[in-house]
Amino acid sequence: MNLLCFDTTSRDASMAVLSDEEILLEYNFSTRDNLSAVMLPSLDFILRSLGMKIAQIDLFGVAVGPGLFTGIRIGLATLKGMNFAAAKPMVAVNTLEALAFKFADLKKNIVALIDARKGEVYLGCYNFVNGEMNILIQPCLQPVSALVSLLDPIADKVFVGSGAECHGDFLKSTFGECRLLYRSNFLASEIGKIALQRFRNRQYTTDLQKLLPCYIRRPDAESNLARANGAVD
Amino acid sequence: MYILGIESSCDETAVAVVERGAKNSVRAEQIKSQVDLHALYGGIVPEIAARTHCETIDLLTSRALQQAGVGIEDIDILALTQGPGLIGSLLIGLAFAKGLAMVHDLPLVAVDHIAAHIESPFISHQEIAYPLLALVVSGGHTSLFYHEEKFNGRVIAKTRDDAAGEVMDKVAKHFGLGYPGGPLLDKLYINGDPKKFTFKIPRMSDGGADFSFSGYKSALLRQAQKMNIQPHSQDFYDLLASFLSALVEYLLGKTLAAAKDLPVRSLIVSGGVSRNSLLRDRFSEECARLGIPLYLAEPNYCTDNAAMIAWLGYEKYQAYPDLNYFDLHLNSYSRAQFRESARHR
Repeated sequence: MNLLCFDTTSRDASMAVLSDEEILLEYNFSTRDNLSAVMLPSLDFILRSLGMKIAQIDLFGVAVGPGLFTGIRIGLATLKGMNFAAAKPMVAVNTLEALAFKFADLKKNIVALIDARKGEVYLGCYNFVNGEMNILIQPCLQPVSALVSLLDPIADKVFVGSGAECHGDFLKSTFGECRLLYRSNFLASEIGKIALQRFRNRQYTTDLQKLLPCYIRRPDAESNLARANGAVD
Repeated sequence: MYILGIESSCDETAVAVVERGAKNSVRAEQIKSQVDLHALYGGIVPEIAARTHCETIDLLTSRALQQAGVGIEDIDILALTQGPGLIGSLLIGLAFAKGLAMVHDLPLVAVDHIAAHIESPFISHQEIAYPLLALVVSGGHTSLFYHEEKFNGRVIAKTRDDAAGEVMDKVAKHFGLGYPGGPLLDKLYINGDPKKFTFKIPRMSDGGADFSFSGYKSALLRQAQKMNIQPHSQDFYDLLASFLSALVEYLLGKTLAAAKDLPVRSLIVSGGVSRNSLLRDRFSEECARLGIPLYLAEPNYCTDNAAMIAWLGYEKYQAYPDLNYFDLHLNSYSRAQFRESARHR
C-alpha cells in the first residue's frame, strides 16, 4: 500500500511517500510566506522522483493542526483538490499526536507542545504501550502559566515540540526533574505511520466533508465578541 | 468546452461551470455567501472567511458539477481568482485548484478578480463594443478602466481611501443598521429626501482623477452630530438618502467626465455596488440621454461569482494559448494589480 502524507501546519513543512511502513522519500522544507507556491511543485517533485503517479497512491495522511491557521487550510484544501474525484481513503492526524509519535520509542509520558504565541501553547499528553498511543491529555490550548497545575500530576514526563523549545527556560525551572527532548519537527513520516495504523483499524474517511481541521483556537473576532457579551473564555 | 471557475477572494465561495465555444452559457453556479457569519461583526472577519472557504469549497464544486450534469473528467480548463482579495481566502481556492489541476492534468488559468468584474456583462452581452469604459464598484474596489480592446486597457481612476461599498458599510455599522450597508441604504432610500442635504464633491489636491470616499462618511457623521440626528427620524432618512444620492452622482459624474474625454462605444458598470437600484436608474437615465450604450452587470453577477471567473478564464486561454497554464508555482496576490486588471488578465 502506498501512502502520501503531508504536514503544513507549522513552518517546518514536510511530505513523505511510504510503502506500508517503509519510508520511500521524505521531503522537508521550512516555509515563510511561500507555502502555497511551493506545496504543489514539491508534491509533484517527490512523486516524479519516485517515478510514481498520483493514481498509485492508496491512502492519504494529512496533519490537521493545531498550528498555523493558514497552513492547516492549505494542507486540507490541497488534499481536497487532489482527492476530489478519486475519493481514496484519508486519515486526518492531529499535529500534537504526530509530534508525540516521534518519541513513541520512549517509555515516558510525552508532553507535546506547539507554540501558539500570546503566551499560550497547544498541548497534548501521550504515552505509548506496545506502539499503541494512549491519550493522557486531549489536545487543548493553555496559557503557559497553567501548565504547572495541569502537568504536575503527570510523572516521568518529557517535553517535545516547538512550544517546548520556545518556553524551554520556564519548563526547566518549573519542572526541574523533567527533560526537554529535541528531534526535528518534520512530521510527514510519523503521519504516514499513524495513518497506516488507523487505516488498518478502519479509522479513515473517503468523504472530503469529514476531513476536518483542528484549530482549537477560535478566531480572535469570535473570542472578542464572546468577551464583549460577557462570556467567560 | 467546459470551464470550471473557482472564486474565493473575499466572503463568498463560488464555483461555476461555464460552457464556451459552440455554446456560450453558464451551466452551473454554486455560491456560499457568508454574509450571515460576518453580519455579527459589522464587517468581514478574514479568519472566519478563510475557515468557511475551506469547509465548503469541495462541496460547492460537487454541487456545481452535478448541477451542470458533467463530471470533473469533462472539464477542459480550470479558471481561478488569483487576486486581489483577502490572502487567506484566496489561498484556499488556489490550493484546491492546484490539487485538482495536478491530479487531472488540467490547464489552470489564473484570473484577476477586478478584470473578471469588467468581463461580467459579457456573459449576457457578447456584442459589447470596444473601446469601453468600465466602472468597477464594490465593497473592496472602486476603479475606472479604459479598454481600447480586450486585454488592452489602463486604469483611469481608483479610490485613494475607502471603496464606495466600504463607506456604505461603515455608515450602516455606525448607526447599527446591520451589514452589508449597500442593500440597507438602498432599501431605506425611498424613506428620505435625497435633496435635503448636500455633500461637497472631493477634489484631489494634486488634481488627479482618483476617487475618494472617506470624506463622504466624515461629512455625514459631522452632520448627524451637529443636528443631533437620531436614528430612524425623518432627518436620519433624509441624510442617508442624500448620502447615497451624493455617492451615486459622484460615481456617475466622474464616469461621464471620462466618457466625454475619450472615444467610448460602451460603458460597463459592475461590482457589488452596481446592484444598487438608484445607481442603476441614474446611470441608465444619463446614458440614454447621452446616447452611450450602457451595460450593467446582471444583478446576480454584480456581487462575487465564479461564472465571471470562468468566462474570463476562457477568454484568456483563447487569447494567449502560449502562456504556461501548468505552472504549479502559481501564487495568489492580495493587493490590486492595476496593470493586470487593466490588461484584463
